[in-house]
Amino acid sequence: MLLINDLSKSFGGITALKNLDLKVNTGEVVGLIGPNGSGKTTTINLVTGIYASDSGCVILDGRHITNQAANKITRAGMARTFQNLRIFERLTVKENIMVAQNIFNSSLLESLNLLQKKKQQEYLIETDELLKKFNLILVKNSKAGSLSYGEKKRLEMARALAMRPKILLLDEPAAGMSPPELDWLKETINDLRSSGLAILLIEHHMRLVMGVCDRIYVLNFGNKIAEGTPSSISKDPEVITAYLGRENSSA
Amino acid sequence: MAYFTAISEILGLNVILALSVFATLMVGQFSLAQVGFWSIGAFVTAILTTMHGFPIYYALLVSGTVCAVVGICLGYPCLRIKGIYLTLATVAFAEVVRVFFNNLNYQVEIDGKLVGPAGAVGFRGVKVLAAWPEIYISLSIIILVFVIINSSRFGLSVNAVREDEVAAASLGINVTKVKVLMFMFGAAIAGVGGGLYASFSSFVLAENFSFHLALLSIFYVAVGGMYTFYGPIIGAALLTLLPELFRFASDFRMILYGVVVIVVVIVFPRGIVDDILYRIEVRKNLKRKQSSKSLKESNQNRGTD
Repeated sequence: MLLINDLSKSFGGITALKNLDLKVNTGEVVGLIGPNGSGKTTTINLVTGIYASDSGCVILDGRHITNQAANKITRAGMARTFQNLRIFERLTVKENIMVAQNIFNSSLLESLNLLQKKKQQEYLIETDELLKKFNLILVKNSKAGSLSYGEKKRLEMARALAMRPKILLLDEPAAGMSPPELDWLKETINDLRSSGLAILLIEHHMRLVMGVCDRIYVLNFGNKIAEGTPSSISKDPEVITAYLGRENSSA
Repeated sequence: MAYFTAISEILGLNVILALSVFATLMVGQFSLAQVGFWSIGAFVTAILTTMHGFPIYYALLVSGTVCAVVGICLGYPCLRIKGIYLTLATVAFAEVVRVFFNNLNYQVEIDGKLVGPAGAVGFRGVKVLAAWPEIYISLSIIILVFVIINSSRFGLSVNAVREDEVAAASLGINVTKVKVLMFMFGAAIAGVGGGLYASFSSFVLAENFSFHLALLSIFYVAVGGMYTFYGPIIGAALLTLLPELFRFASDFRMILYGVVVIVVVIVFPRGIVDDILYRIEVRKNLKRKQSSKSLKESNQNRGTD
């Protein structure tokens, strides 16, 4: 589904990402882990078109999307969430979802609601379903800014899914979540995988990463230092020194 | 009676100016170019009606279209820059327009008299074709467009762009296109407003559309509120009517006006309409929290029974 080939980026002489090769298949959850500053979020920002890459290419579902505008890449089927929440705080919960559904309107006349009233009605039904699934239906008419942190996180994920993407990039979805919320997140990711969505997960929460990912890539200082299944990664000596740490080292 | 008619006409024109500033603010862009478009609209309409015999509504339509096209040409390069730099670029544009019309000499002889823009003297003797009906019909159409935008999914995209451009782009919204469209819309409104002004006042002088008018236009929006389109309407109404209400104070009325504006800004720091809406929202949230709290308490009581 998503193929990253030899992708590099440097900011003013500092290499943020060097020759990264990465692949995410349909119905697969792939983890991208590494210490802070290792290039994980840079990868997502390159893939989604927020930064322009220096070299390399990104292919989504057979289409070249390297360095295209962010909105075009999204329309090609890529959705993402942000590490620091970026929801529209002054809009209501429902409106946040409806903004994402705008992607299905091809012309200005259509998005002015002057055409295809019936189709718009269907989107409203879909909005309600999504909000139910993400347990936000009770706050659907509240301003998004008044939600709790956990609710905002759920809203951002729901908003990304409202675009019916082919691949979902999650940037630290577990940050700040309570244990029951983590269980919910794990369940949701598993549900999404079985529905055929490809997921690239950036996360520091090892229990979640090890529990949910099919394959894991490990970055350090912009270089890929390992890739493989969760069990092989957790035994990799290089990964342990760079990132995981030894369990008895604190003793 | 004539006094009240005149006030209502000036009020209508000021509301149109405020709405044109608001249209670009809807995508989070702070523009002082609206007076430039206002000026273009005034001259285009004056030339068309007085020198070429166009009916008023046709002339207004052409003015709006000319300004929309100029708006696109200005918007594409300018909306790539942000914040204070965009504001500076729009000030520069307004200045260019002012200097251009200040030097425009284009007079023809009609019935033995020279008419047309005559440089720094301005365009005198513009046909008077607009009074309150024309002004309020135009204003109603403009408001109708705002209502359509606001109730549509395009309006949601506009709000999304204002809230967070990166997030909007990540949701497939063409941020540049939305910004340029709204900038174009604002320019067209100013073009129509300027045309109405010219046909209402019979006299157009480029110097009248200066930085001072640009500041006033921003005041309207800042005082009324910049998140709903009735904010600028209320702001423009208040700032137009206040000096009239204080006429009894003769020479001191502008002082009173200043005092009231300062008080309004202190009491309603977000703008009148935005502040009221914000307070309603806060109250609603409090209620929601209280009701969910009492629900929890009653559940706990049930548990102990």
